[in-house]
Amino acid sequence: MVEYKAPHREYEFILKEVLKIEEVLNKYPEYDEASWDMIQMISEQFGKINEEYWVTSNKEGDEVGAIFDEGRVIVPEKMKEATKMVIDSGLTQLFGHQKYGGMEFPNVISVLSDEMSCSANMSLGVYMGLTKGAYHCIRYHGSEEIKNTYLPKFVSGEWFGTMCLTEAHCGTDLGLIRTTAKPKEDYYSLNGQKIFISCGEHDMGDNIIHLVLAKLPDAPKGVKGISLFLVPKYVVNEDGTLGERNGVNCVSIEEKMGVHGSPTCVMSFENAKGYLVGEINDGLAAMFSMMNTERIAVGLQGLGLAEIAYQNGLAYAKDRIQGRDLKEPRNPDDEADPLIVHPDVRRMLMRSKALIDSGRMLACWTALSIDKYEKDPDEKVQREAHDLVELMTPIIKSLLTDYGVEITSDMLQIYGGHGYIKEYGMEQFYRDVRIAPIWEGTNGIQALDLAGRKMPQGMGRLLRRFFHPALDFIEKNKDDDNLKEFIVPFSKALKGLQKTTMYMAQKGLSNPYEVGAAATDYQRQFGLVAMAYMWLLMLEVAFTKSDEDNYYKNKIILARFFYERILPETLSRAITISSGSKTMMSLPDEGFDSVHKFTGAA
Amino acid sequence: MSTNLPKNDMYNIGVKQQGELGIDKMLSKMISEGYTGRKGKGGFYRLNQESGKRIKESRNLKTGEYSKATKRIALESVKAGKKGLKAVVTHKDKGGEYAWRVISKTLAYAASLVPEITQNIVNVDMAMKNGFLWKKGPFEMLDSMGPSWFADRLKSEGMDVPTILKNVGDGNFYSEEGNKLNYYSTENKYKQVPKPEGYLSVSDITRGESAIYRNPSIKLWDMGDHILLAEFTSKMNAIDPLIMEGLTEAANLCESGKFKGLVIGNDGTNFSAGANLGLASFICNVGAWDEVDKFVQGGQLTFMSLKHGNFPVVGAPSGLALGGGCEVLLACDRIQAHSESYIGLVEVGVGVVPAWGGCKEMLERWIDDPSSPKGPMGSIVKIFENLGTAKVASSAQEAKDMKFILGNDNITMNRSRLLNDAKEVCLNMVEDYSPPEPNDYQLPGPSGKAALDLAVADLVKAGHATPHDVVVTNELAYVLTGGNTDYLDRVSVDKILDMERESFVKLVKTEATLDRFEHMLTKGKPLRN
Repeated sequence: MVEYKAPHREYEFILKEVLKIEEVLNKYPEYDEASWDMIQMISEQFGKINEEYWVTSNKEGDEVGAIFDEGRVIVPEKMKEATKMVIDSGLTQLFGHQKYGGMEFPNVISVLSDEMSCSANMSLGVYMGLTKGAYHCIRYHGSEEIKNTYLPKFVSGEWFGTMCLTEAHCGTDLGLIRTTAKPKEDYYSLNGQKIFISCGEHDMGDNIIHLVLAKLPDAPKGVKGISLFLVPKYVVNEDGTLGERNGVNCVSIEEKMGVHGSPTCVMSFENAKGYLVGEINDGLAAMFSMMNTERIAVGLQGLGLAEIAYQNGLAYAKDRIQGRDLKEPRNPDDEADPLIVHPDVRRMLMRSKALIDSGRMLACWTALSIDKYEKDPDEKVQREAHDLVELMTPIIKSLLTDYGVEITSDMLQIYGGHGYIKEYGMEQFYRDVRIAPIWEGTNGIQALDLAGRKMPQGMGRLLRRFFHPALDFIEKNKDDDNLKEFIVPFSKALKGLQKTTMYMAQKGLSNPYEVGAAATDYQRQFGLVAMAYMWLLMLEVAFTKSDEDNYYKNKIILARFFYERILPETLSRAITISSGSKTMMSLPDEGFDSVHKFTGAA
Repeated sequence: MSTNLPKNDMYNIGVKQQGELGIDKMLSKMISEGYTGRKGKGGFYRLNQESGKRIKESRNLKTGEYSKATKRIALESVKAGKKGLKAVVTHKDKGGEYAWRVISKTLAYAASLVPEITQNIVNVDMAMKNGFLWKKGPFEMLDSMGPSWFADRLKSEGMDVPTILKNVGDGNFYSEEGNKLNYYSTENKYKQVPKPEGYLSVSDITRGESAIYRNPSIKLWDMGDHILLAEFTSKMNAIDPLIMEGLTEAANLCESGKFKGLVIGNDGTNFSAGANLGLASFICNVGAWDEVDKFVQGGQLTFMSLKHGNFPVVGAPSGLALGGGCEVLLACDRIQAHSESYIGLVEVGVGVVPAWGGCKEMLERWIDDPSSPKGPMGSIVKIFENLGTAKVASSAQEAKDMKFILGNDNITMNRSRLLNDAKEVCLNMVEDYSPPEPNDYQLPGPSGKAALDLAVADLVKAGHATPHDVVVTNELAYVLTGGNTDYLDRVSVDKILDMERESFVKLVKTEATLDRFEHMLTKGKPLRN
């Protein structure tokens, strides 16, 4: 039986004690309501629903799954109930703007809610996440009329949203899409087929609003000819009531590895009524303006599943007795000692915990900058915050999802054979999380985004937002007796990252293969250094309070583990990068083959 | 002109076509109405300043109305142009077709005029390059595409193939033989390209030779007579650590006696546009301050080894020699400048101070010159004005007034003679050469700086200086006045170099300087922040 408890204390530490979000957010009048008391209350309420309803719906979501029945998709009952709980408690209103009936809570709080929902039931988290994404996209780019018609319905939880990008022949390379939109009197008529549409059809709400990329008849070739359209499942009448069924239908759903509770649909558009969102031929930009928050949210899927897998792995390690402590028995009266006495089991647990703690901190630290760039009146603050978010987004997405896969796998490992069978639920986490490194841009694409786009942008300006504050931190704390132990290796790791960055900036100019060959290793090196920096921020607080509570003392031990056993990986990454692209590009294509014929060679 | 040319000459055909298309009428109407270009009411484009902003507008050729210029259409053929002319004219889009129609007729016309107007294709190429500032002459362009390919395409499109193009067949119009350059003559033979006495270019030196030293940014060549040539080959001839390595190598080669003197010059349009700011920008953005210090100190050491090494160095600039590109010249014993040289220390424009010895050199040049203004501040004020406003000399002559070029230095009017002149100067110095000794100077110190600060404060009041200008010129004033010195003490050049470096590093740690870097690199002009 899967256990889950929302990690409130962890968030209290990060948000309240380390980031001091109350001080930061107080400056913004829109966040009047987001006092710490309020945040705590909502976090508890949200956590409770997750613990009691979402987790319990997760197994049925997996085993029964979303069922396709002649164009309809039926969601398992328990998942519907769990959703209803969130809607009835008004929690879908959290991130909507006050104008559309929302509570306008800061983005940094969505880290908490996204993590919790994905821990408890990732499939369900997907429905909510997509709706939130559609909300923000329409709010940024939609006309007043569209905003007033659709946004309040998202906020109230009555309608759901989707994003329709991929077609059978193109996903990453969206310039190739074939779905067409013909202008009619006061709408566009859309035709074509989209695949891999998460939650494209279901029976959770009254209406589903699709955001669809399509091309006008005489649009320019490639990505510059893509426009964005809003296509409702039911056409909305002028008075806001639902009208005729629109020409958008689910043709089939995919069989897949995990997230069975959320259907992955093939959607067919036949003379479907659509409405332009944003400018003609500027659809990709409109869709991608949401990318930062969307990609961070996917990172949180990785984090959420890592957390629940960790909680269960830990419980099992404390409970299951097997073998003896290598020095002396922990439970001499019992037949054996619990798994947690074994160094190798501790290694897996501590590694996971250290990664989860710093990954969570990294997501919160970055998300707070989203609030800064959205709400701060000072343009300079806005720009700097935006730069930082742009830089960190691909890192968070890839790092948290890659570690999500690793941690769910390691926690399953602790169960041994019991992890591999369905009974304990561990294998579901592993299957569910595996999509996260793939969707919203594979982690390979994230690496290229970081090394090929974010790094050269403004001749390295985005990098400044990470490096300069980190260097300032070193400068400020280098003589601190407590922090010294960490500052020294951090300085080295940061210097190593400076070196690879300069190496890539220089090599990349003359040979684009260099950037391509180094990108994934660079992304990991950067991610680990960023995590190490997050530990420093946490340690600063932990040391000052270490006498008050063991919680802080334990954080220091975890930080030490990270610095001793995880951060050194940056060295191997740096060495790998410096070997360049030559060898990788020199193997001819046929050299990759597994040769399958006997030749009689002596 | 029309009457002097045969009726079927391309020029006359062109004039006739213009008439048929109504282009001549359109042009005369524009001229008569005063649309004569930027100095008139506008031309095909104009800058509309009515709203207070400068908005670029384009003229509708049919209606004569102006509207906001639309964004440039990104033609694929233009991108293809990176691979050469042939890639453009063979590209299947509007731009490619247009390019072919223009190029095919122009080059075919040029080829048809040999031997009618001259026996020698070299003359045609030279005339077009010198007269119209083409980068390549018509026959050089034909070579780049392949004359036989060009002839075949003319033929397949029903155009006449000029005789010389038929004759050259599968060959090229120019061919290299050893270090000689030959051209295809009207007698269907290759002859050596005639070169007037005293003409010398880097390509003359390098043809058929291999470099003594090379890296992606610099090559060293044997110029003959034991003179070494340093040729910059980086993008825009920007100065980077690789150039410093190459120049250090050049100094070693000369010190070892293998060579007796060094000439620094190249065939580029611009001698050097300055330090490689892109690289510097990355180093600063990641905060690798040790590397910044190395970058600056490495340059200082290299330039000191040029200046004080036991061999003469002659710099031969043409076009832009800015920032670091100016500082390398200042480290030379002599400058042999092309008259069209634009020299300046423009570092302040990107938010830093000259730190490869630029400040030190200017102090030496002004203070050591008896014709300079007298008094502890006389020269310093002049230098501060030039450097503080990032002023660029608009000619070699003006560079003399600003003392980038000194009395012993010479100016060459003909670009083709520049390198030869520089080599001659270097050869003349080889015998009895003794390097200058590092000097020290009396500088006014804090009281002098206070005077300069006051001047800047006035500029701020008048709205001529921005907030960050104040920060940058404050550092400049600090260096030029000798820091915390007293006028009665002497400041060594090493001390001045240390101050240059100290101020440079201080400035690149500011957000505003890095914003200036970025703006210059991405927009191509200085940011006024």
